[in-house]
Amino acid sequence: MNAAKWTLLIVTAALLIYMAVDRWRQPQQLQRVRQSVDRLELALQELSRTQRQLAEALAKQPAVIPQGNQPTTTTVHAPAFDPTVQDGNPKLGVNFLMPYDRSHYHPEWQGGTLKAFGSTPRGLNPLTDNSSTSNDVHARCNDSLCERPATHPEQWSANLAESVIISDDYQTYTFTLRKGVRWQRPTVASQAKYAWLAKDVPLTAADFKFTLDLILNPAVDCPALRNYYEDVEKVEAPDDHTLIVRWKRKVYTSLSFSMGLSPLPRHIYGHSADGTPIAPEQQGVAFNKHWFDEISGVVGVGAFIFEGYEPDKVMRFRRNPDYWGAPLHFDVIELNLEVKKDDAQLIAFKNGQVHTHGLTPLRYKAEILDHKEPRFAALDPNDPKAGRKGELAWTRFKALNFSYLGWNIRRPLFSDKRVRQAMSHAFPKERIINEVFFGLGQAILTDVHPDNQYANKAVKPYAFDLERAKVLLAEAGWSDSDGDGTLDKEVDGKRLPFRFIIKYYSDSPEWDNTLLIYKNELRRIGIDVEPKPFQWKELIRVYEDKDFDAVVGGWRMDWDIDYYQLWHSTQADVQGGSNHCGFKNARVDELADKLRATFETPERIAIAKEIQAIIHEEQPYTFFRSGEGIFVWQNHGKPATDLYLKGVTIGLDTLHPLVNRSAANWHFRE
Amino acid sequence: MSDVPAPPRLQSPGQLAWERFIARGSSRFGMVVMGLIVSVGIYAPFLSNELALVWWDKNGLSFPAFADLFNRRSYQKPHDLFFNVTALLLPPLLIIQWLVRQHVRISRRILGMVGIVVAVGLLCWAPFIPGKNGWTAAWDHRPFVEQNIQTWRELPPDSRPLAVFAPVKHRFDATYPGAVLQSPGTHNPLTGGTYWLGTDAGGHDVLTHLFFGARISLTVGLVATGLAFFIGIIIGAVSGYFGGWIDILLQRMVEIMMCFPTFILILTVVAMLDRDIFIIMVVIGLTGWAGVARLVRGEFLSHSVRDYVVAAEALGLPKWRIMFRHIMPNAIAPLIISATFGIAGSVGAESGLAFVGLGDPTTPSWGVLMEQGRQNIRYPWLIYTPGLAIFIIVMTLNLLGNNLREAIDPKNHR
Repeated sequence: MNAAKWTLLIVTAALLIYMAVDRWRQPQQLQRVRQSVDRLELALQELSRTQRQLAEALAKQPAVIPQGNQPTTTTVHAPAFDPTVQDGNPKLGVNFLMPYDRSHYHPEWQGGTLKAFGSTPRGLNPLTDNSSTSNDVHARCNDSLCERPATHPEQWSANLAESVIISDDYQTYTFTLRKGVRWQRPTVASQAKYAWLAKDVPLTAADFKFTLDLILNPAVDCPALRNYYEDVEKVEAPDDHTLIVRWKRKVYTSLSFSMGLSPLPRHIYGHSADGTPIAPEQQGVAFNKHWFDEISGVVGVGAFIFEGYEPDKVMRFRRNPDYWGAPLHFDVIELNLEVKKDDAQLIAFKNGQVHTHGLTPLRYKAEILDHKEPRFAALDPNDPKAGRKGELAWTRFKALNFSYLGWNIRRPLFSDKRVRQAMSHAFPKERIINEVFFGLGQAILTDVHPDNQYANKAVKPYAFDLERAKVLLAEAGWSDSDGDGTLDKEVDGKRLPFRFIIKYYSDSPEWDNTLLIYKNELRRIGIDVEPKPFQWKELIRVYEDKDFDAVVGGWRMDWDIDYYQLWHSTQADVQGGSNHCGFKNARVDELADKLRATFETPERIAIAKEIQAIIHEEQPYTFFRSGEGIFVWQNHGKPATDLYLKGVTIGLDTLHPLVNRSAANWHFRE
Repeated sequence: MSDVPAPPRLQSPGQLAWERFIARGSSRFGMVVMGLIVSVGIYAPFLSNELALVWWDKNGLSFPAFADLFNRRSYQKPHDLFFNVTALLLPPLLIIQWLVRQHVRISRRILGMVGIVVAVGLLCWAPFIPGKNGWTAAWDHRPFVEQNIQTWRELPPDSRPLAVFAPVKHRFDATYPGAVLQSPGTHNPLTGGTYWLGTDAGGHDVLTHLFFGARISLTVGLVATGLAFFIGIIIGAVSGYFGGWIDILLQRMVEIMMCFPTFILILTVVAMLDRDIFIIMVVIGLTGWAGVARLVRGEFLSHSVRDYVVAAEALGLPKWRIMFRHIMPNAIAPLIISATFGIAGSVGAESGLAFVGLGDPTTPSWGVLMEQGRQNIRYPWLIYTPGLAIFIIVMTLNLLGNNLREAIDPKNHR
């Protein structure tokens, strides 16, 4: 009997504890349910809007064609090169593209295998698998209509399109395609089952129309990508080499999204596995689960042919012998998908298993600054190219990204801009770059890279100055009224101490150190901060739910600036919106909208500079640094290695596309 | 040892065991080493601090390092406060105890109970002190103290106040300019100190890190083991005393727990939770009770049929009283041994977790330091120093546990 009593007691206690825990978790669970309902609602709204637009577009079609056709069908063939017009800056009515540049190719360096690290893709569908791994594979194998020259990323040069004429107040793009470009023959074409693919197919405007139709097809599972093309009114392919993209309104993103379009092979994605064409209305559904993705096929018109991959083992590319443009110098690219941990990768690199790698700041300190690896040449302040002299060569490169400390403007601590300015004054930016990042990186004032023409360098930086920070905080009403050393202020009748948690990414010793230095500085002016590390996935939820006082983050920087995503007030209160600090400024909204409809570079620069001045004044972020990395490669060794390395060296001087792409991947390791 | 002649007066088994234990040289050595580690942990703020221990200027005499002990802006984690309270109160308490024993005839038992009350007071962490707004918690946010070595060095030599500083002049949570990964013996120009054991990847002094890491290791050992024993004793006692189907049920639970490879289980759980040192302690504790439950059950099984238990039952005493006041004191000896090993195991587990990158990066634990050594393999002092510290504490605890077992085991004693 007694035994039963005891068990009952224990079970009751356990139940009580469980109930208490459950009760405590209830609000969180409810909130989560509410969030998913919100998300569903948003998705439904989006869907119905897309449907409505589609219906409207279908209804209008017959009326639009005769009007729009008149000015745009006058195809202009590329005249002789005129450097005053063809400077790569967008202009109305003339072909402004710079001619395609073949100068980086040196036939004598051709050959060899490039071995580097890669990662296993989750899928390779060109539209629905929007991961960086998948994008990299497609970028190696395919080309776009126009290209940004690596040396002048703000300009445009010809690529698959020989010329483009923009007309109709920047709403219509008429491309003249290059002749003689052929699709790669897929590697599976040698199998009997896919024998129908073993044919020579030229690239035509219909392929581009097919691609855009897929993107705009609501059945295709690429809502993020479709978002950028939602203002496309019509795509036409009047003949094999003319492509017309017409937009509903004048919007600047139409430029990069029209000119940066890569084609998909209609002769593959438009057919089922046995070679029979897919009916147009089935196309969208069929594309999401296309047979060509299931056999991991990638086909493009680019410099490399994708030879397939073994998951977590190796991925191979072979040079496209029929490439229309200037090829890269390697015959084969072999990506090692096996070694994933950074320390193992470094060892593999040093053993010569791969030819290239990147170093984190701490590794840079160990291997090069402290010279623990004698095969690397030591740092020489007088010779910026000293790193290339060693057996293992290294060089610095600039990555197009920046990091920041974001202040949640909705919270009472940071609602006052003087407080945010004070936080910036207390952040010893230069010291941290020098001591924690060992000089890698460039202090930034705004979210535009200092090398970009749009950067406003006239704003006065918030220099490290604790006295000034104290003054600003006092002006904003913060003082230590109770003598406990922490600033405080009356907010809604309660005494609020200046004490907060800053959330950051947990696997970064650099951020650990940065925030510790910052914490010690803030303590001197009476602010208590507790850095709290988060796993990457949890931190993403923090951004999405705006659940922070202060948070650390980073963004990629684009050459084409756009202030809508990060700073427009409409993005502040959306679940998952990128304006997570809640920045709202009527003037910035107005300018950001205006910037989206302005194409002329000088005007764009003027608008961008004004926006930056406002953001600088408001300091929703304390802008920290733009990234810089260390790229290392095998300098000596097999002759083949030597050959390709000339290619890489050149590549770095001119921001070779291949290297630049891998460089873009590295910054995520920070 | 066995050839010691039997003392003339009566001794309890506990006293006998203690004498046998302390008679061994290795036990005395282990006690001294543990005493050193505990003292280093308790007195870490006086061994390594930027603040002056004594500061005498025209405003009079002050003791900044002591005043700072209860500053929440300097010591944010609760375990730091516990050790700070202990550091401040331990010497007077020891003196009082000595005086009381000198002058008052008082039984050990009452003294022990008073000691427990005081310890609970310490554990409450916030002794109340009179202040401007009445009695307030001592552990609170206080102004930043400027009487540190840096200020002292900035003053012109002739106007410097008289000051005494800690032997190591570094704060445990400070990052010094240009101090990242400096080799042992490097000079710190800012404080005039020397990094005797080098610095780590965060620019902290490794020696300071070791001092404060001792606190973490001791806390982890005690909290995790305490939790494991709390659960293990309850489950084991219930299981062993009642027997029957309760025993069968609870023992299957214990077996399920034992089936998991403990470290893998801890790894999995910690990977899903926050990286907080207290969460890590709790997880280590929650996964370690199965062995204790087995041990306690065995003791209770053998005791529950003995005459004194039957007598107590016949008297109609409540079950919990028989279990925890009658049987428990008789079963405590093997538990003490097991606890010694448990503490060593917990310290090892925490270091292991930190070593594989699942530690709390904001806490200066030895394992975190070792993980830095793994990541920066070119800087060997980051591996050797914390590795040696962990080795010493784990080995000493195992040595003590072993000696204790031999001293308590009646079979070893003729």
